[in-house]
Amino acid sequence: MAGTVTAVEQTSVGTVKRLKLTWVSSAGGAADYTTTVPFDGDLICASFIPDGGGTQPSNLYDVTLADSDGVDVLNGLGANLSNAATVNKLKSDGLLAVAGSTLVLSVTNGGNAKGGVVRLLLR
Amino acid sequence: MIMATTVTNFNPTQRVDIAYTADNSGEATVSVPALDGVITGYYQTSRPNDTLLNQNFATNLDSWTFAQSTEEWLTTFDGKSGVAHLTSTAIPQRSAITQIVADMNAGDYVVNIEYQTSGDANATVDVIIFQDATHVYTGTSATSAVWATGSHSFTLPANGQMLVQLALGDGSVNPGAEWYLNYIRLVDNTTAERGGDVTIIDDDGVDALNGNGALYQSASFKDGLMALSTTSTANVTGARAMASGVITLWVR
Repeated sequence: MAGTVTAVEQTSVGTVKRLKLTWVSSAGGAADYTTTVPFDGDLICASFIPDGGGTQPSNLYDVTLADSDGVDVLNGLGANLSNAATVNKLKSDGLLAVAGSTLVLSVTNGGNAKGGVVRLLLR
Repeated sequence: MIMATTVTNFNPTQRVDIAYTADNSGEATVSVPALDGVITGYYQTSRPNDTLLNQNFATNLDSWTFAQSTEEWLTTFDGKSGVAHLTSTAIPQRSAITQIVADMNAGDYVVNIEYQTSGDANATVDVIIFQDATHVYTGTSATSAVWATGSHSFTLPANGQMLVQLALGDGSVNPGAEWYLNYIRLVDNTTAERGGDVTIIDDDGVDALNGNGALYQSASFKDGLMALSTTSTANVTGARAMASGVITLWVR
């Protein structure tokens, strides 16, 4: 494990499932987290929201989200993210799906003690 | 400002109509209840010819300020009749209502006024438009000794301001002449629809319109509209002052 992550894992409200991961990186610029419940469905959209000010992550930081088979369900769309503005990715951009699997967040190249939010909506 | 959100359930699509009325800065904020699904469509309509300013002196005297141009003018409010009331006491001078309609978007407007004068055939009502403090337009209404209405059409430029000036004559007025102003209405006369820039910010701070809520624009899921699973806030900026509009979302 590296860094700290606070999670909102909303799987039972309505038809859209929501996963909100608020991360703070370690000195090595990384943060990891494994969801406590499995998710199921297509990734509708993924939003990458960098902190501002003193905890703004390094530019071109990277995020992956792996299922139990090790597949990055972000399909590489979390690579080289801007640290200046929210980046939104959609299913039409190539987001994949999850089939009854927990998800493993991995943030790298974020900088020392930096932060941000990864927010996913699935159905 | 005034706001209402109506959710109509179709199967399987919900139609969400978010009504707004912008403030004088052209901004509005509307709370949207929790929605669940992908936004498949977005559209915005606005209503032209809205009344931007409806200043009835019978009910709202205090919001206007009279600036006496000289000591020779006596500026009073007539509490009994509820109208703005000027009385000349000596050499006539021009006096002004200093209420300014400021920070309005460029566009076409009509000013409607109702006024009355007494004892001065030369009394006039001036509607004066400024841009960055430079005079760009004056419209003058003819005098009347009975309640009469005047109307001016003008184009308000960017950074424009409107000043309504009370003018009792051109030097030939008799002391004691009176001037009454009953109401002023400023109407947006633009025929084309104009809305504002819209964002739908959910509880995670994400714009569910994904930047597609710009002026006039409609969008579909193919443009990158996102989804909602929480309550959200519709924010409107850049609309006309006090303009009304409706933001419609289709959520499935």
